[in-house]
Amino acid sequence: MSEEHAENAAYISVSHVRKSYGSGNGAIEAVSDVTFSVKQGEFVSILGPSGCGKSTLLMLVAGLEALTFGDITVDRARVEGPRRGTGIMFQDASLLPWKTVLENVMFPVRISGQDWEPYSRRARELLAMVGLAGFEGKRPHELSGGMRQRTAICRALVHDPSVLLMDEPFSALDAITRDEMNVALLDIWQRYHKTALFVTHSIHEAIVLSDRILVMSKRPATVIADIRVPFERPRTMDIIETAEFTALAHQLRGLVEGRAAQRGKAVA
Amino acid sequence: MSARHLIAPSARNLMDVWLPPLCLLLAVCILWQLGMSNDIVSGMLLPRPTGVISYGVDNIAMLSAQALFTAWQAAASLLLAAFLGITAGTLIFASSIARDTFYPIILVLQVLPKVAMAPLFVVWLGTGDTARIAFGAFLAFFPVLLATTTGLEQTPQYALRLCRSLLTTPAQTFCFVRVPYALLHIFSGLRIAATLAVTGVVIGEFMTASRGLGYVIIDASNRIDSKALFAALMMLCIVGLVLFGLVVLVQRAFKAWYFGQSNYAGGA
Repeated sequence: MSEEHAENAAYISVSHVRKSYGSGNGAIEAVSDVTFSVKQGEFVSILGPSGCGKSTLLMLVAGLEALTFGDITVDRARVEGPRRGTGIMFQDASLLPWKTVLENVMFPVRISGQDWEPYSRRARELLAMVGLAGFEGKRPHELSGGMRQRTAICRALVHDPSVLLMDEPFSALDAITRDEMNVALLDIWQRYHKTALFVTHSIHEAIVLSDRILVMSKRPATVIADIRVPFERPRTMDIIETAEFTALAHQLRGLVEGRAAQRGKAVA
Repeated sequence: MSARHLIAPSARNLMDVWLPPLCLLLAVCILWQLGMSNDIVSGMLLPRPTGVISYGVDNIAMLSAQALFTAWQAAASLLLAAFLGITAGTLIFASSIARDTFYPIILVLQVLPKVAMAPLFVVWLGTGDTARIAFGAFLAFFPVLLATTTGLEQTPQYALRLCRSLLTTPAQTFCFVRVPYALLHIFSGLRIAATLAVTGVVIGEFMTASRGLGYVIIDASNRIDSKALFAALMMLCIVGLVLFGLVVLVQRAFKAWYFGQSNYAGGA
């Protein structure tokens, strides 16, 4: 496969996906006819109001929920269940309390039975990158919320997945920690260039991190706008100060609140 | 919170925890002694605290021998109950056939006053140690079983979701995640079981023994020797506390491993 081809092909492809819970008249539709694709190495955010079904959509891509209708492929393979080459970050860090930070990061390696040594070197490297060098032997309860999520990032990346899926991983953190986490994630992503799908209800976070932002409607979730983020990479948090950022944030807020869907289309 | 203070007290809150009840006990003893001095109640029915203590000191060799006899049988009961309860609890968790077959029976047995079944053990197993240990184990078995099954079932959803995303095998999920989470439950079951094992053995001694603290109590009661009766009760308290304390010590060691040593350094 040529380099050119690899860059243009859809790495994650979601087409006409629906998800409903229950059946008959009592069925609740969570995701309604969603179609989009993510190129290799692209960072795409799914932005929408709370409870709109965007997390459900991510769980469908992760293979952790079964879809009702449609088709999802990752790396040209149909998603029918969880896949080894995908790293996931959940809303909570989901750390095992009796394991140390390093053991938690190494958990996927232990499960898949791969050699400990090369991966533990990688784990330590990742931990150092997110500022957790020296915390390898600590237990989760000794860490702050932000440190736990940093550990979870490292765990999601330790087995070198091709795809990184993140389900509002920083939503439980305070604003300052959240900014720090965004910087950490920006650094990590700019280094490893994983294909990433990031669910968030924070407009600010979506702009800082993404190449593209998919704006979702209220439940049942469907894509109402697909917006390219114009900032060059590598980025720093300084982009927040620009007028471009403010304008984009304003536009996105309008879309999320359902005020100005037309304007969104014009820009996209 | 309070339970944890009893289990993992630091030097300071050791005093905080034990001082008030000890003061109360001392006050009751003093009032009791003063009350008895005025012959309000016959010394035959209720001995003076000093009388009990002097009886205990005079007969310390006999009382310790009987206490040891009861203690080793209770310990044997507890170990047997722990082994059988954890095994059965795991089977009931793992096999739906085992659950459908045994769970209703266990629930009925829970409602039944199990003490009423003590004579059955004498009929089946004779009047020796076996019957007493078996009955102690029978009483102590149920809380261990229920704690094991509940503990294995109550693995947090986030941990199970993490496992699914990592494609763990059922055996890996069980060993690496379910069992460590269940152990905290199992230990609280074992603490209840420690008390019940002593109860079961003493009931057995009431009926069959020619030795042990249960026998001393029955014998003293027949002779209306309230000093001996109270002295034996005090020894029984010590036996119960020691057995309970041993379980708590093992639990502490386990918790130190589970959460890391540093949890205890600060004491809070």
